[in-house]
Amino acid sequence: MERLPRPKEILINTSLDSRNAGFAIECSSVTVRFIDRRTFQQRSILNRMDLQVPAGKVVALLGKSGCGKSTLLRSIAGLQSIDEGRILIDDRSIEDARDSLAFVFQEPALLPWRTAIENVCLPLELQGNVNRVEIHRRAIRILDSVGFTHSDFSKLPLHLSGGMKMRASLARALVTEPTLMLLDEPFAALDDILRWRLNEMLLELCNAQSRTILFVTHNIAEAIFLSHQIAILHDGEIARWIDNPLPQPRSSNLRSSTEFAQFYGQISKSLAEISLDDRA
Amino acid sequence: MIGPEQTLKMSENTEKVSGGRNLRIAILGRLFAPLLVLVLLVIVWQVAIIFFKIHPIILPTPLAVFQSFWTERSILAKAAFITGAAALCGLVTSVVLGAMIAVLFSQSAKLRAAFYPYVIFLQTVPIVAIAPLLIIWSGNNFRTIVLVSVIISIFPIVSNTTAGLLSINENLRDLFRVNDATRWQTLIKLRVPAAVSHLVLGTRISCGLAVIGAIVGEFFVGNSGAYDGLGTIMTQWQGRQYTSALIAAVLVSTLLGVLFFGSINLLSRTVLRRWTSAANLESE
Repeated sequence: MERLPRPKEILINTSLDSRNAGFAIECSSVTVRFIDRRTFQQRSILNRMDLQVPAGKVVALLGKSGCGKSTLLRSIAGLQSIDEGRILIDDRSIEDARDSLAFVFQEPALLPWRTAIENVCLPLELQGNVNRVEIHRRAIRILDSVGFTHSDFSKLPLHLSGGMKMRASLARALVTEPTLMLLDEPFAALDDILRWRLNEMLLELCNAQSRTILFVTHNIAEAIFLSHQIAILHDGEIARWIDNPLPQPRSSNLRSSTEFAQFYGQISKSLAEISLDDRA
Repeated sequence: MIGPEQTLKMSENTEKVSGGRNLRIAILGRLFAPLLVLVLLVIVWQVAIIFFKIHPIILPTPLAVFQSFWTERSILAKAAFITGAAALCGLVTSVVLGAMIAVLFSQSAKLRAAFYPYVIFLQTVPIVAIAPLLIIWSGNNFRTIVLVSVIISIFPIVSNTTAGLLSINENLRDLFRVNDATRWQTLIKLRVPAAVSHLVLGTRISCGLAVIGAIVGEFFVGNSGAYDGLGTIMTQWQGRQYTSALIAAVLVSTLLGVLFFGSINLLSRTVLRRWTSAANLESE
């Protein structure tokens, strides 16, 4: 493990070019332990993890299954209690920062008894500081911006296509205008074409407002296309932290460029190397 | 004996064909088979009485049953109405009370651990054994019958609704946690709507039990004249060996149960139309 570059050192470099606006997410030596159900032995799923995400950046988390990607994301969202360490969001504790973060699940996770628009209204209803008319107005605006069909507004999730459900789910996350978005393999269940279309849409929405986004994915191309930086996790630690050299703003043409292909190769190689380390 | 099979096949075939007229044929086809069975049963019944020379006190003829039904029609109608009312009151009480208990159970694991065994106890206690006790405590009246009906019909509602309130899709629970929902908000906006389909299913199981509970309760009320439900007149007629009327009463109580089940089913289907997708999501 010592051969791997220490994440801290690299992070200092990346933070220099990042407007120096402070960190949207700051994890210091975060440890999460699980008890293995078969062996009854404690296992660290996150092992003294340090992670600093500069404000306004998009960071992709890559790594094989079980490396702690989702656990990290859930810890930052406050869905997973941590055994050691500290997580700060905009220099606040998770509890204080709840209203400025949104989480997008792998499944659309829509309430089946609510129509699409009622689902989008939910987070604002729960916050309880905006009146009904305003909630509705905002929901319509945000649904428009994610390309949700008007005729589908009052349909129940049962009657929506997979793509529309995911759009509604994204709209629900965006409706509170969060400064930090956490996405857990959001488009994994969609077909490639739809995935790309939603990627482009997400990029457009991010470019418009400088949001901090941390997302987990298994799809290297998706990670490259969306991110400023890519973190590769391995055994509960950050094994590689790679700056994305591709220029911003990005368009769909980028995916057919040589730079994209080269970077794709570099990332796959890194992923393979890390797995090899594991076997050695 | 090829008859019913053929009609069954016929109804299957016609179902596939769309259109109003064909649909009507399909419905008739579906009704035809059970009706044929009924006619056959009545014929067997009549033939058996003639053939085995069965005494009318043991088994009266179908015609005698129908005659008794006709002469006692006002008593039967009144009794069916009273029993139906008792069962309905019992069922409504069970739904309201059961849902409330389930909500309490969903809010506290300790409460659940302490009281759930007693809810199961309610399910396993032989109602025949405690009905006499209830009559001593509560008297020969309508209230006691409702009470018996509640005791027998509340369990499926409590257990189903509690399960519904607790078995929430993990992502949805996380969604509420991320949005910093209060306990109350999670209950009202997530748990309760998610449990509606479970409550309805519990009610569907309970409605038959509510009728049975009412009739069993009535068996014990006795013929003091203070109360005249189906169960009461059945015990009276049994004492007088008035078998034909007794069979008519049995048929009426069956009909009452069917009516209950049918209307609850119809009601639940309307309610569930919006909530059926909830079940789908959970199994996803």
